[in-house]
Amino acid sequence: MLGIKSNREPIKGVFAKKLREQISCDSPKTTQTQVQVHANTSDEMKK
Amino acid sequence: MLLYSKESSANVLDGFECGVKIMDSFIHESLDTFLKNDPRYSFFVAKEDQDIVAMFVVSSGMFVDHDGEFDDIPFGKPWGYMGEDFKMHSGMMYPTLELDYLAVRKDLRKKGYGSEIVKELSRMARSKDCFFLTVDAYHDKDYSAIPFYEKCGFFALQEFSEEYDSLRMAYRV
Repeated sequence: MLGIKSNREPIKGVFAKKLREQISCDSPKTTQTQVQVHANTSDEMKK
Repeated sequence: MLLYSKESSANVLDGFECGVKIMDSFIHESLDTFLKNDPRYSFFVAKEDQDIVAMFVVSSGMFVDHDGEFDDIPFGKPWGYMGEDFKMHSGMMYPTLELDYLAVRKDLRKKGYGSEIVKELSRMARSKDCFFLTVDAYHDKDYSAIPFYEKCGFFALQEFSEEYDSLRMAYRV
């Protein structure tokens, strides 16, 4: 990155905790898209 | 609506300026060599009505979950240097999409183009089964990208420090 000074030390403490929380929660956008796809499929099957 | 195209040469950015001196210098003096030296970076431009609105460069990476901490590894290397230690990375791996560079044309900044590109990159990351977008958010005494990434939903992965020119941040896609 631009030859600048950056820090790639391991992620620890509260930052690792936040990352773990984010990993464990589902992405709302993905879930919403999947629901929409299923809904459309279901409607088409009824027809 | 923005249209995206993958490019192989920085020549397409002739005349492009984002107004951040260090970034403009990089684009016009080093980007071409940078791309030629390492094919793992992917360079894109975003266009609106045939005009280049922004440029960005992405690559791959991953977080590796150890007990209580994560290694933050560029390019998905299974092993390498972390800080001063050379060690094997083992543990649950979470692929990431690294946003290496993002620059919006100077006269079009603060109009929502950067946020739109981040949303597109989120879709790109999800399609590649990545868990996060990651970035080294640049900051110096004249300019900071940190507020922009915070506004986009990124969170810090480390304490802010004047010792470094960037803050490591991530966004769950």
